[in-house]
Amino acid sequence: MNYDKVIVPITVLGSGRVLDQIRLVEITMTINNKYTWYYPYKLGPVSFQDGGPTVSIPLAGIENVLK
Amino acid sequence: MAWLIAFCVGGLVSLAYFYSIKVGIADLGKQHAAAIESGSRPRELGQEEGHETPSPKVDAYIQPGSSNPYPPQTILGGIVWDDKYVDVRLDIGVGAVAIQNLDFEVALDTSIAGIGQISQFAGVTSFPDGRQMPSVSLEGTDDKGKPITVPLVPTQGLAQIAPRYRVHCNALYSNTALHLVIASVALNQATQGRLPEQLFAPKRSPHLIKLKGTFEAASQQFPIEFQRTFDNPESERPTRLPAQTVHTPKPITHVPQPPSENLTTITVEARMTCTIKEGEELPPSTQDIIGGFGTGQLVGSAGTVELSRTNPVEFRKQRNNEMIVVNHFYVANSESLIGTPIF
Repeated sequence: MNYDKVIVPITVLGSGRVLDQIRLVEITMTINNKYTWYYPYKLGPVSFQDGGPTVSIPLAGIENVLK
Repeated sequence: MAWLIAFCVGGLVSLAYFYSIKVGIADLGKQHAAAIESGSRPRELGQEEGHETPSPKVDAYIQPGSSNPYPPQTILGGIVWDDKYVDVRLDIGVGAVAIQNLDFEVALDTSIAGIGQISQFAGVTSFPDGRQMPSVSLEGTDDKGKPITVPLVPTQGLAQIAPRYRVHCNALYSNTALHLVIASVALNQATQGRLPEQLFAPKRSPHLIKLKGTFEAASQQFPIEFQRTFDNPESERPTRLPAQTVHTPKPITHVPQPPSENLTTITVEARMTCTIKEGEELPPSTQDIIGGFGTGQLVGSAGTVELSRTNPVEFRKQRNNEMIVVNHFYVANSESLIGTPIF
């Protein structure tokens, strides 16, 4: 098996009017409740729009365990 | 009669003399042949006084005093140090034989937030096991409703937490040592397929370090393997490298595979930190989402696996006029991916 990307839509459930700018996106992935990858990404000035962004994460860092 | 006796004795002495000369010449011939043979045969690694055996020595220890926080914004081996980190040192000493292409994976019984070099060798690279930190993209719309993609690249010095790291070093000269610093961080474990509310556990030292890889010397590849238990993590470092660390002068013929483990859970948590507009009413701290709405995907040549959502969506107000929105996803047990080998 081979998977190379995770796509997760971040939803704010209608609370988008509250949010101004996206500053940081953190992705944490855990396999078997014990192997954890955590990646933080700081952003420049990116305005929050609509219902929320979709995050696309290449599995380069964990592809070995998903083969 | 006396002349006859003298003649016989003299003859015997002469015979004995000539025989001794013959035996001596034969011995010299054997020695010379042995010398020629040994001189024409290529020397094998480790054959002479151990000087030509590649024997890197590995040592690891908890840096004394690292249980206390380092000063804010301390940068150690390129790592922006965090109070949650424990300073683990990994030294690889090289003897009389220089080595090339040292390449290994290292793991602790905690997680690794980064590895940096505190010696001065060029060509030393470390990254979470697999490849470099993935470059994420953020897809959404702009203020006019048009689709837009924001590429997110890794921020230098930020934590890249993974269970294992890979380290590569192009070359280590003879009688030198590579000194690495490992930022160990303890994470709370996921339970029942859900990540903990607080990802970072209270600071604690690791108790185990494992290293496994290869290096090259004299155009041959050799294994390198090391494991150490920190019985007393706060103790001072050992005064000399342990003798049993690595000494395997046999070239690699095969790489043994670790035992297989089946996949039981995959969880993904996405946190988005945003500034808050003034005057707007804040949402409740949690909100449930309708089942089947806004699912994620795991995609690749093997197909597509749905990532279901776990309720609730969380809204965490921060003191600095920011809010963290937390979304949880998991792979349902019904997916065929669950139960397949992962190693």
